[in-house]
Amino acid sequence: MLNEEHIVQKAINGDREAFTRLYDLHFDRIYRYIYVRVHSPAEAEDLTQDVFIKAYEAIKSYKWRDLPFTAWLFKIAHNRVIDHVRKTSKEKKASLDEAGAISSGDPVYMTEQNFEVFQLKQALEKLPDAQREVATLRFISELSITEVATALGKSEGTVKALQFNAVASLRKLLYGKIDA
Amino acid sequence: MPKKIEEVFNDCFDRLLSGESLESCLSRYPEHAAELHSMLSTAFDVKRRAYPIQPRPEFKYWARVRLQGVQDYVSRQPVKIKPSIFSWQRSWAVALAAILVFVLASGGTAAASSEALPDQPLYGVKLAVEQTRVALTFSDIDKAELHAQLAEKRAQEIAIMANQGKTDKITSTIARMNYQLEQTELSLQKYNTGSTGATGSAATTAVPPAPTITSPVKPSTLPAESQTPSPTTPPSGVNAARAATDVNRAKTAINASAAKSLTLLQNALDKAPASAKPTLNELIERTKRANEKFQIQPVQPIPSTDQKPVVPNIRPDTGLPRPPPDISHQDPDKTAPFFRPDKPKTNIPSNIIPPPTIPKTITTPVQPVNPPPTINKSSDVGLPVSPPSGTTRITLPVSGSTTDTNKSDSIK
Repeated sequence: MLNEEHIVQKAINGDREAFTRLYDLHFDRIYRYIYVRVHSPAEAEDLTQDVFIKAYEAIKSYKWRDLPFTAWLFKIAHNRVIDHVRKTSKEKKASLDEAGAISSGDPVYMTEQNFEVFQLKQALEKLPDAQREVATLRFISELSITEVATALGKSEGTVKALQFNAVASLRKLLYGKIDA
Repeated sequence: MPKKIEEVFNDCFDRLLSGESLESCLSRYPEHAAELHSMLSTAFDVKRRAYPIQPRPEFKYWARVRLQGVQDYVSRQPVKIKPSIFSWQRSWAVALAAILVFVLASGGTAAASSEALPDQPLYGVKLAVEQTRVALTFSDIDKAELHAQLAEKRAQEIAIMANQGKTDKITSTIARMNYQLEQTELSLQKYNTGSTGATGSAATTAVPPAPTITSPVKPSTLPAESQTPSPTTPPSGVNAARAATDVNRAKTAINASAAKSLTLLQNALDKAPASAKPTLNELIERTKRANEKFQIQPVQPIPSTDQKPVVPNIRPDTGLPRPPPDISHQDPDKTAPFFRPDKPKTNIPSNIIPPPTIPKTITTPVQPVNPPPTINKSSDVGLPVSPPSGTTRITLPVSGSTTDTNKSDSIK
């Protein structure tokens, strides 16, 4: 973490390479976070790009002592997703055709993966907002409990409770149907 | 105190992420083992399902290229600081400070320039300040006074320059003083034209003289303007009286300035360069003329119509002052003031209306226009004679008519 703080400080001072390193460190996580919240991979790509451009524009005013960099970056992503979802929520829901995550070459394996991702997205969509937010940040974007709490502005105890409830709900949503 | 299940779940999840086995973790919390097992399995299944969600490599590459393009663009732009509330406050503070500095600096410069001489850099500021003062003076009478003061300043400058041997600027200063004297006369002339044109013309020329009582009033009982007829004195009304007061005040001030200027110029004449002397002499002459022109005529005591020849109050035999005359044995009517309204004269014929009472406030100090004849008691023949100079005609409120006191007196 100290290392990341050092890189962030260099980026604040205008070091372009330092910002590129931060970009590499967080790009995939940001993309996953956005991907499960929006309807299509194309939207996820556009929003991910927007998040990093906004981060680059705002990094001069960023201060580590106020918020860890990861939490700050996911806060930008969260706000960007919220804006986007507000605009597009009435348009369409996620579809299996657009759920393609990665092309592995094996069509059967790829279809199974896509179906599982689709199920996951559907299950997440059914969660209450707070639980969905915590579950996405914690299990998909792989943030620590402290980072999640900071990014969402909640206490760690609250986040732990939301996390446990989100997992219990997901268990029902993912396996209850299968079991049934 | 046993941990809550959400605490236990979070602890085990972090341990599994850090490499601890599921069994090891469950053995730490045997009371929650069954529930923990299913919950942890679900959490890791969510992670597994999300794992294939990866950005396309080509997108990741192109996104990075675009970001570098943005970095290039931003680095080429001039640095902009977003205005915040504090920056607004700063900008206001800077503007206010600039205004304050300007005002103080200009005020200080103006103050510092007040003693500047024609060969000094601040002299231009001094002249500009003077011009501003003239521009901000709206009354012609005040302008006349101000120009006279400025002429006096020029005279001071000429004197100082001559004393210091700085002769090169004397000629231009003389020209400036000349200009100020011209402006003084012009402003006063304008004022006279304005006041007489507005209020005085009709009264001074067209209105026939109302029946008046010419009363030789003691000088101390009337304001100076009523005793000194002036061509600029409006003929009637409170405003006219005020205007006359203004003119006299201005004349006094101008006269004083001109007198000072004259002294200064005469002192400077000896030390002035030969080339400037003719001009300076002309200026002295002009100042003298101005001094004489604005001289207020001294108030002449108004002789009574029954005035006797002035006898020196010195006894020729002893050279000592004469004692005051003993009037105790005289007829009080003869020694009384000019007339006594509270005591009608017994020898006035009954067909003559007794003289009216004089109001305490004199409303109309008037210059006599076509003065009516008055009968002088001293002329035993009873022919009308002109009133003595300096006599002020006062219109008195009389029921039905007005009477000339001189006339009544002469009848007596």
